Amino acid sequence: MRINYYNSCFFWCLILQVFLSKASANDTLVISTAAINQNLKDFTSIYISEKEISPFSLKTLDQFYPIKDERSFFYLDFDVACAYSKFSLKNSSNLQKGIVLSFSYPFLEEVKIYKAVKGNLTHEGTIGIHTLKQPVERTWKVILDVLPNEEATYFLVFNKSRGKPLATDITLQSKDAYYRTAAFQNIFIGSYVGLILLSLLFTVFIFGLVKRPLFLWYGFYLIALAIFMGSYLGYTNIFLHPQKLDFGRAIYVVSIELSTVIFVLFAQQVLMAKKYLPKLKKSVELVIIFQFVFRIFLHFIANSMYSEQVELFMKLWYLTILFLVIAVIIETFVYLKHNRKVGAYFAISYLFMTLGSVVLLLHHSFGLLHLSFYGLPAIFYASAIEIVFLTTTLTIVVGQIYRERNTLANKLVLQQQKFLNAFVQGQEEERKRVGGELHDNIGSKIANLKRLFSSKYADEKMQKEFDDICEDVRTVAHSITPAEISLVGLSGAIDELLETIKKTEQLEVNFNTFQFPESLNEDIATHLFRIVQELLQNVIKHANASMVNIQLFGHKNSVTLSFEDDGQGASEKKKSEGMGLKSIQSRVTQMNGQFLFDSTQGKGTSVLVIIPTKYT
Amino acid sequence: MISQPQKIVICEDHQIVIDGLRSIILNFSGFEVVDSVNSFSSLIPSLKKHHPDILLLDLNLPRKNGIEILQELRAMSNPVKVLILTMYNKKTIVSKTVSEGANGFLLKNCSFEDLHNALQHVSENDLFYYGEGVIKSKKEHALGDDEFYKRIQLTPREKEIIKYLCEGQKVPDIALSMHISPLTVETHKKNIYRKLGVDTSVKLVRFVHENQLL
Repeated sequence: MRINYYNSCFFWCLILQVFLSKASANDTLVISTAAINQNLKDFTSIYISEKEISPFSLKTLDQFYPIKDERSFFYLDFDVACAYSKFSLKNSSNLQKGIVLSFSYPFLEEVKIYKAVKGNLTHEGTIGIHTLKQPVERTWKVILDVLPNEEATYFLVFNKSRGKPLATDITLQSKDAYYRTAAFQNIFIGSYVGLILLSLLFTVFIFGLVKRPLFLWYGFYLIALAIFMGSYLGYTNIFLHPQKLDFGRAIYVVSIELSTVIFVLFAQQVLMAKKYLPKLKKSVELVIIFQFVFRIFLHFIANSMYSEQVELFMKLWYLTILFLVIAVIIETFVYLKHNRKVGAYFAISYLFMTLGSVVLLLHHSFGLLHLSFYGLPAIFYASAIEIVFLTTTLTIVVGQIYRERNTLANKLVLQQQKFLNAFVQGQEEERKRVGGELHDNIGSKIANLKRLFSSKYADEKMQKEFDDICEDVRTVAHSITPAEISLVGLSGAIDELLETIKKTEQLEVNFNTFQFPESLNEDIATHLFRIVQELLQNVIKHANASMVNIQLFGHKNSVTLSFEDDGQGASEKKKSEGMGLKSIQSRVTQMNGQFLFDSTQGKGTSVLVIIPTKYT
Repeated sequence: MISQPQKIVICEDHQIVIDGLRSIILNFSGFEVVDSVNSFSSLIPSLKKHHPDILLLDLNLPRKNGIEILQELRAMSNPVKVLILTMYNKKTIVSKTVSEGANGFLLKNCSFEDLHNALQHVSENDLFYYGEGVIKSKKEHALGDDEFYKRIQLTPREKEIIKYLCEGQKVPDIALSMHISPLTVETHKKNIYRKLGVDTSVKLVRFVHENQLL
């Protein structure tokens, strides 16, 4: 880790870096007045032992043997039980210096620091989840005080259980450098938590809207991921009781497994594996369940029972991970092929997450790769990028769903409108046909019969009978079709209509036209006539009105029907109801017009119908 | 008495009616059906060919209706006497045919005497013949004070809006205080302008004051 190398870099970007620095023969760090930020691995080497050696002393040093290790960080393999590293600090300044020795891995089991003083070891401190001796921060640290011009040699002693490899960065920093790094880390972590919370809120919101379990799963994934990341960054060490810190590692293992399981299952849904790769999906699901159970078994049972086979087990476990990684990548590309736009976002987010996971795995299990930035692991950044892209993608998906739904709803409304229009139109045609048939054909024939009859027989009673039939036919015909619109125009037809209403109803109706065009399109005229008829019927039936004003206006590009009554008015609820108003609305829509209905309780009703005309 | 029989052309789209009319008119002396047609397009050549004295015209015809045909004939200043024969017995229709220059109006269920009287009447007389039972249209109202008064009758809703307009209020404000949509107010305003024959708010206010409309 080279923090000072990055400190000047403001635009943080994730750069893959594999540190393969050479172990230095010189294990002394010279402390001057400048800030110190040094990777311990750069100038020290590791001595390991496969047996537990306790207590550690200068006499037991020969039970350790050195390993050739070119890694930039400390890596203790499966079967290592004990290890130590030796380094010296030389204070060349005249001031006392506090050097912070910090560890990136939060689940250190036990690490002791000794200072060699005149051939004896003095115990400087112990850290680790097994034998906690001091309150901790997020990361483990020990402060080494170096007196002015002092040169001191330290031994860093690791004790760990076999079967669990250990990988950690160890950094030596002067206090100012340490606090600066910690500040940056806090900002990053804070942003990460904010991002998770925002995405979580957003997902819950979307779930509430569209009720798709997919979003609930994403929410669970975010929570599992947050727990995993929190424990991996060492927050369990702060929140848990000091005596139960080992529990933090269990949380870590369970949460990483859980988030992996949800991630993979979630990916199956999002990438529509069921549709594109049903066979792969089934095997992925089987493998993920096996993997989950197996890892839990490994962590909680196998380590103590079959410690010899742990390495084999772990390799089997890695194989399943490898399979899942390849499967998700294949599914991503297949999905990408079918859904280019959305697929690209998924692909990016999944690739980042899978890469991050692989790096994490290789680092902690094989000590192969190591990526970190400002002391925070690559998986941290990878998952942040993943969340951003996944949330964005899900938003896009929701947008698509909504657009589809809206167009569907619009189509439905349009369809309904069409049905109603067709109904009204059909009704009109049918009325016209039946009315015409009655009036012209049957009426004419009866009339003719009467005339023929009257030319031969002078039977008054018979003639009266014929006249009655003719009158009936005429009345029926007229009641279903306003055929006279074509003969006398709309205003004539309305005049006739009012004539018949006057006979039966106690209603004063004023009807006036103002520059209303004589030669109005017959369809429009018929529609307007029906609307007037409908409105009058409504008034007679419900309004309890005594006065109605009907007016027809001819404007430059439109005609307007104004219909006012002084009745009791309709309540809001009533307005939307009733076939009458609906059919009026439908007629107006067919004419591309506007229907303005305003009615207040007790103030009567005013209806305006505005119909655009082609005339200028 | 009459040496030359009056020539009649029937314009009617029901063959059975034509046949009936023909058989009845056959018994009338002095009248002769020279042709029968069923639409405007065949009527014109027939008129040119036969130069009939009387046209028995149905109102309900395919494509061009009877009133339109009547208008066409009068526009061409064809002198033929037109006797309307229809099922419609409506005041508006009757008065329409009177004003368009028809000579008589018969209902289709008229008796043969009525038909005979009608034919006799139109061939000799210029006065309009009303068949049995035909509703006579009232005389048209003379345009004058009465008409003007009718013209400026305002509905309650219009009065309300004019009041606001005369106070100088704008359409959106009126809509707000009347709890109706601006389009409704705008439409009423447009209607009022058209009704009172004004085109600006200034003219409206002047008109309202001069005629004491409020």
